[in-house]
Amino acid sequence: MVILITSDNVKYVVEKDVAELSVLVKNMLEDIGPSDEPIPLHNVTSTVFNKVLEYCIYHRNDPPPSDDDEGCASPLHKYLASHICSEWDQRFFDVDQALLFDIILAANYLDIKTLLDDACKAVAHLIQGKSTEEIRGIFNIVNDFTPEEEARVKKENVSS
Amino acid sequence: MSAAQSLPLEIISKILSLLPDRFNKNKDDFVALLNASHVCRQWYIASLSFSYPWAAQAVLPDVMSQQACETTILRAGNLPVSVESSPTNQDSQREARFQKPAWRLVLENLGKVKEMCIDFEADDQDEVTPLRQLLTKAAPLLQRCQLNAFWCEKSQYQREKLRVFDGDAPALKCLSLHACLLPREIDISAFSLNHLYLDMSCDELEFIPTFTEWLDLLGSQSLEVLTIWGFRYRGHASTTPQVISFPRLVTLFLNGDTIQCGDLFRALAIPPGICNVQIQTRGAVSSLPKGMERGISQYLADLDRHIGQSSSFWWSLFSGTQGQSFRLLLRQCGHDEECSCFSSDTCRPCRVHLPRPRPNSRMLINLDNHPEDPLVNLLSSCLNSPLLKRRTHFTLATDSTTDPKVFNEIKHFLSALKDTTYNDYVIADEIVEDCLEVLLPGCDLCCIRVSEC
Repeated sequence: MVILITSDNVKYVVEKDVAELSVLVKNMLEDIGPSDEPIPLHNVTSTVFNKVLEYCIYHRNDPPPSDDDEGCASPLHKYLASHICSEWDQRFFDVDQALLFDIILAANYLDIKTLLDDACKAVAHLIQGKSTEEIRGIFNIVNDFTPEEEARVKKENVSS
Repeated sequence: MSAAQSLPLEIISKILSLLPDRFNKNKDDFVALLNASHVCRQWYIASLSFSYPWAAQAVLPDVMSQQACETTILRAGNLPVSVESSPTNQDSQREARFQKPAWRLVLENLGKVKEMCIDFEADDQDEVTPLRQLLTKAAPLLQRCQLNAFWCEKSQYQREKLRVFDGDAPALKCLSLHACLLPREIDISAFSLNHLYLDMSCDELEFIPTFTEWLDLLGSQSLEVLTIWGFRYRGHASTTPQVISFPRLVTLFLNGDTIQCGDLFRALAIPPGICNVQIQTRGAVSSLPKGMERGISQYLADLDRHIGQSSSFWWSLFSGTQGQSFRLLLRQCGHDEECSCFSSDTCRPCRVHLPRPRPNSRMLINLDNHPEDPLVNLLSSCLNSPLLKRRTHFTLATDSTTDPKVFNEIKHFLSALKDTTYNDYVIADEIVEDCLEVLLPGCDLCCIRVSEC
């Protein structure tokens, strides 16, 4: 078992194989060797870590992500690779935006590639087919371009 | 500032790189990337700071402007891009399309391409010529090349020999070509291909190697997948065939003349573990050469010796309409095996999912109404395989046109097998999928008559 402490001082006792889905934690465990010392997770709150842990427990037995060349993959394989998202995953990422972005930041900090990929896909899914204005509305993004800058970048759309 | 706006640049760029639909790339992907990158400064900077959102886009010269193609290639930086043609039915869009600025830009930037999937008209010299030229250029980053066309009547190519991609495509793993792009002789020995697909569906081709040349060509590769449509060779097969070893081969598909496919099949030393073999030949099964029968039987025997009795395989033997085609399909059963069944009248496939079979074999036989179809002879040959000495499960799939005599003859052979039982079902093909799931688990020998096609 591995003891992890979140930034708001909540202690978690986690099975090693689950904890090691985080490359950050795995590397720290390798560096410090066998120890009962808790590992601090400075950038993750317990609220977010609860979700991260839920994901890691569910996906603990998944095969490791492959960096294999996909050049030879059949269209069906590619389709499955890009589209198959389990109902569980869909429910998991059906959270408010603030939490979704926190999960992304936590996955990035903890170096959990599959979680980062899946969470980014969830955000990309929200954007697909939307106009610039609609995306701003979805994420409460403030348009901070100057009028001149905006006119310039909009020319790119015309050329498409 | 919103959470989305304050994300690190690398995360924003990762989100942007996941925007394209990887299965169905289209022009909208480029627009989606532009739209997203224009929402604020942070997202715009992210889009320009990293190459991979752009490299994740497909360059689609049929539907994208030259400037859009150029923007994608430029912003992809050092990362290679994918190029795809887009389906179009409008002749006006197809006319001299490779002369259009967007296509010319792409064809001149082959050195930046990692994947290329182009459909073309094999009968149209305006389309064939630029692609032939393309095949002479170095493609140092190219991993997958698919230049696909439908059947054509005649193809002429004055060139004698082609060193594909000038021998400079070290990353190339998958090569799929229509043979109308090839001259009399080609050299692919510089590559280490995993997947070779050659489409020779053209009545008159320059590229028809001799049997020995075929063996040299294929023998230079360590293939996992080999597919040849319309296989044929010039002259005669050698009497003592050289054996090509494909230790990594997992899928073999041969289509063409029965005798010539048979000759090649016998010359291939296929690893015993291979479970996805399809041989689809023209001509009645009666013309199946003895050698091929022996080759198949030997192959099955080797398979059995290697895999042992715990193996699970799906065997399919199809005899098509009027006995004019033959198809042998061997596939390994997975946890939830997906197999295919064919209506011999329409060749319309239906897909069925079966629970994992018990450790034995199944055979699906699709018969047609052709009383002289000597499937029985072939079966007899196959039945000599030690693979069938253990308890074996068969599914006999016929349709409403199946000749009862042929059917009874098949039954006679199968009934000699150990522990077989037989059931006869008449079902409509609309519900084949449901019925098979229900019927097969308890059935050793099932006849499924498809009443509607």
